[in-house]
Amino acid sequence: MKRALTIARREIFSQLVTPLFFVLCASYLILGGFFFFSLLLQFNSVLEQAKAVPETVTSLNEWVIRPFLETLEIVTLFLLPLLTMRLIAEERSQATFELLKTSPVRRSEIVLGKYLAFASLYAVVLLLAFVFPVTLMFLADPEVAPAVCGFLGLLLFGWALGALGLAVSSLTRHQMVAGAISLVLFLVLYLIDTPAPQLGGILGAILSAITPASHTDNFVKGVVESGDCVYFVSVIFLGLFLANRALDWEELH
Amino acid sequence: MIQAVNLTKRYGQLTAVSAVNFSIPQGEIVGLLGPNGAGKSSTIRMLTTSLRPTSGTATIAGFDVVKNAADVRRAIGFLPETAPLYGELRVEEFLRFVAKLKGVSRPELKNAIERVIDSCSLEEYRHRLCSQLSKGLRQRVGLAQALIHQPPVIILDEPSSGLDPVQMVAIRKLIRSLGGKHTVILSTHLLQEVTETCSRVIMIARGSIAIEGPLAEVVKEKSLETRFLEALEIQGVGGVAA
Repeated sequence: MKRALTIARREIFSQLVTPLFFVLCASYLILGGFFFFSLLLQFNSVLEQAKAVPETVTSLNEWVIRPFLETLEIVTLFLLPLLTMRLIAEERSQATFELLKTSPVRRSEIVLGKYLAFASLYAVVLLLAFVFPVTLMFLADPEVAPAVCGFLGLLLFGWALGALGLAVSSLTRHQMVAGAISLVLFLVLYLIDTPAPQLGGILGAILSAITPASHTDNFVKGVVESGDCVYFVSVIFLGLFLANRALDWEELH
Repeated sequence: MIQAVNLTKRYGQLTAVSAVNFSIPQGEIVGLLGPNGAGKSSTIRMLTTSLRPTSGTATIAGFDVVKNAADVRRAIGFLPETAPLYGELRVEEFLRFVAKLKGVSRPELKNAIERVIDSCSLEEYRHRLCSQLSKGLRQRVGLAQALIHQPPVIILDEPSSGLDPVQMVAIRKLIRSLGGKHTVILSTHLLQEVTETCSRVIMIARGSIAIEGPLAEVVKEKSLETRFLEALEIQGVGGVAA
């Protein structure tokens, strides 16, 4: 575990001294900010209409925070491959992977170290984007618990897909290849339940259960279901297991 | 200190290393010679535990490279052909990272870093970014990381490839200084490097051992170059003798 933390610290340091991470943070905030203020404007016009029709229910959570989190989820889909693509692929292309493999470090410690670095960096990016809902808490009185719950959902969503991205990064020495494959994988997973209503039955249910989107829905609505937590934790373990297997496979071949 | 018994690596139909046997006594500097594609890299990768043998065994400091891979990794310092440096770290930061990775204890950390900075003459470069180092300096930092945990065995893969003559002389001097304290395997295709630094030679051609023994004995009657070319002809490696 100590060595996994050493690897994680080195990875975080390396990401923080290169411009990519800051570019990603800035892009995420610009996009998040744009959608957030668009939603606020929309909410404003709803409030105007509500004056005319007093029975209209207007809630900041329903009209701003929830759609904001849902939009952020889609932006996150594009952010994640950029955060995970370099994790192991870059080590391979720079020959530093030889150093890791021939040091007294278990393959699982390499994978865990890399994952911890990703998980921390992603949490930082997400935390930065959360500044928008937080400003609302100072200026108005939205419900805090559902917002925090939604944030937790997005955190688990990113951590789960990130583990799969790490597994993809462990398969190649080309960062761009890892990034492209991860993006396609994430989009397919995200949209896999699209035909579920038409298919129906067991197949439809399976597709709905596979997509991470269906498991963030409850969180964004402010509901924490143990099934959703189990799903995300399982995907994290699956990703770490596959990354570990990829490194073992390489040793054999 | 290092022993290989019928060490074999096959990639599908291709046999890269074929039932190789050798034994290296403690404190010797051994030149692992061979043309490109002879099986040197596969042998090195098996000894450093990054590739599992198809059959046969190898032991380093008494530890089996498959069964006791973690102990083997503790017992070796490895410099791959390309020095494995993180460009965004400074030399001292990089050495600290490697020391932690290799299990150097916290109280020992500072001493270990100072020792290798001194032995590899890196004092004036300790605060320089690894990405800003010349090829020769990169190799020296690479060697420093291999030495940091004072392993009994040092494995160097083409340590002087791409260096200018002055840098070559410096790195060879450094390697010579390791003999006695460490057992060194030096993989190279430069015959001069072997005659200048090694006490023992293992030559691999087409995955098999062509020559093995103390350097003085190998070059007793004929020069190393002649022995090398003859061995390649016997092994049927075409076009080399010409």
